Amino acid sequence: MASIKLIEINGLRGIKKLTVSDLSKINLIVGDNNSGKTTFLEAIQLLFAESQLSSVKNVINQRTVLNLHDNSFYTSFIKMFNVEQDNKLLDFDIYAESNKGQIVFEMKGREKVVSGDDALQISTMSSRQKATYKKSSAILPETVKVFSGSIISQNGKKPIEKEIQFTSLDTTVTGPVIKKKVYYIPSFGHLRFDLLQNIVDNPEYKKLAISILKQFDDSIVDICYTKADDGSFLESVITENGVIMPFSVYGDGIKKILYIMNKLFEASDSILLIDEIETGLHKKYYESLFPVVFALAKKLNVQLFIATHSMEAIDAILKYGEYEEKTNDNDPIKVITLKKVNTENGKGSNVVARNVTGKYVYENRKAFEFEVRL
Amino acid sequence: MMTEVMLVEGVTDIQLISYYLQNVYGWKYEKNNNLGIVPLDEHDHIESLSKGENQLVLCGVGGNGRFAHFVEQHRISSMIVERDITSLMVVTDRDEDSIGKVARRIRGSLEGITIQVGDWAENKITDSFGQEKCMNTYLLIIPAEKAGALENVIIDALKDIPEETALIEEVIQFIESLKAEIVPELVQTNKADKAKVGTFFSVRDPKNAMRSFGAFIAKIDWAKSESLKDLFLPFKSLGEEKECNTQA
Repeated sequence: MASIKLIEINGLRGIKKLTVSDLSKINLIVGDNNSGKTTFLEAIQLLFAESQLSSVKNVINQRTVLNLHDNSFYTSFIKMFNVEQDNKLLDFDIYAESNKGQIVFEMKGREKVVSGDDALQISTMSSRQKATYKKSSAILPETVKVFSGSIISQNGKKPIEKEIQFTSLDTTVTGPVIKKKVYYIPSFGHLRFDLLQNIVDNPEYKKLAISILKQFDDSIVDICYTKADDGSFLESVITENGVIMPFSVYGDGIKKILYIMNKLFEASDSILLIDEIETGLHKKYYESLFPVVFALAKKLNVQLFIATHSMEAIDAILKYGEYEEKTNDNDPIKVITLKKVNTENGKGSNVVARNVTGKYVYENRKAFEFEVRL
Repeated sequence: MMTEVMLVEGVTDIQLISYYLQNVYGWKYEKNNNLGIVPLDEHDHIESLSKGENQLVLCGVGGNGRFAHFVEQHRISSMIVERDITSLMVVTDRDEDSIGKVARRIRGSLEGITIQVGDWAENKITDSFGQEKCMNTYLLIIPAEKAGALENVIIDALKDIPEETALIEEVIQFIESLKAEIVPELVQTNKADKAKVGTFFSVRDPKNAMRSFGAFIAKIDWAKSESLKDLFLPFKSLGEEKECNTQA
């Protein structure tokens, strides 16, 4: 599985043109709100997406992880393209250099307006869905937007291009389930549970997880699935008194840690993207948790991209570099700050990046108020 | 909002310049500076001033041989790249050196920065986001017209403040009279100048005779000195927008 060394993003959301090179095994993505951090993480996921709309939808939907409604896919899709594009052709592309060669993902197409009837014909809905739609919708919209274009992806082999067409009526886009090549932890992902899947059957890993959980609650002796009264399985904790407690009664910190560890294992030999790593975690646990995460990532050969707003989290992560003790020529940490700037002609904006080593940030922060996040 | 930095040699320089900026050019003392520069050892002395939204950080580097050390320790080069510093002024004693030699020494401490004696210089800086910005620099050597140091500047200033003229002239004669036999060390101009300044203030303000230079500063109306006014004229530009063109 590839780890990426360079990424170039053109025309994706607020990013007109951005190149970040010299990526490392641990990459911190920092910046102000709305500076493009989540877009940067999405770009990495899209690089490894298949040439099909459902892959793109999976990436889009991560922004609305807690939103159960699925009725704004078309709008969300169109918003992926940079709004300041001059011509009517909507186009974005992402290019990366990896240890396995070049990776490319491009999506392009045009938007047009058609009648509601025509749109229903074009729609990706099945015949049954179309019939249901007609029944449930009192009035078919007079006009409907349609996107027609293609997705091109290339990951080591020949580029694969697939035509896509769908309408603003389409709320569901389905496609074959494909094994993920890059893993993403949204800031509130731990609230969905899915905490133990990769941990419980691996004794060594489970032991490590329990030892970390003990920092939160010393009475925890085991983690497992237990059967609830309705027959469903609950992710649970067993305390030293033999009491079984479902994770739902525990705070966010424990869930977040397990969620990260679970995903880390799943992402072996791959890439793990963690959005807002600090969400749900008290800062006093940073210094004990982060070294474990990084040591595991190294052991499991996982390239990390970690977006954060928290200066305390950044400082704790930088401690992993041991810059006071070591003259480390091969710095494992890169700090990539994204900043929104006005374009030179004064029309619109772009995102620029500063990519410096962890050591550079550490030493500057010691000497003066180095603005890591801006 | 502008943030400017001034590097000077030591505490005495800071005390005199800070007093002058506050009393002549309307700067106000601030507890902290927004660059987060703090003393890193006993040689460093940092003072912050503000004028409206603008801030000036005075940095005493701990002596004329420590400019390079201060710049390295405080990562001034990184600070220039990473923070919005609109100007950097360096104030240093000429001592017995030529203007050219002093300028070379300061330029050697500020790698990659263009700095001119007695004139503002524009520096095009590319920040680590690849964005261009501009910073002005100025090298003020004191005294400019002759060999000497800050003490010499103070003596000249006292000479042209009418209320202080008589006393400083007496003190000069007194110190000169000691050179021949009683204190041969005073043959060295810099030491004689220090003795003149020290003696002047001890007599001028006897109750503070055992205290540092800082205690005397406020006793003198330095604004009345024409020589000091001329010498510190470049300070007038601090806190004001200076022309700085990033175009090549």
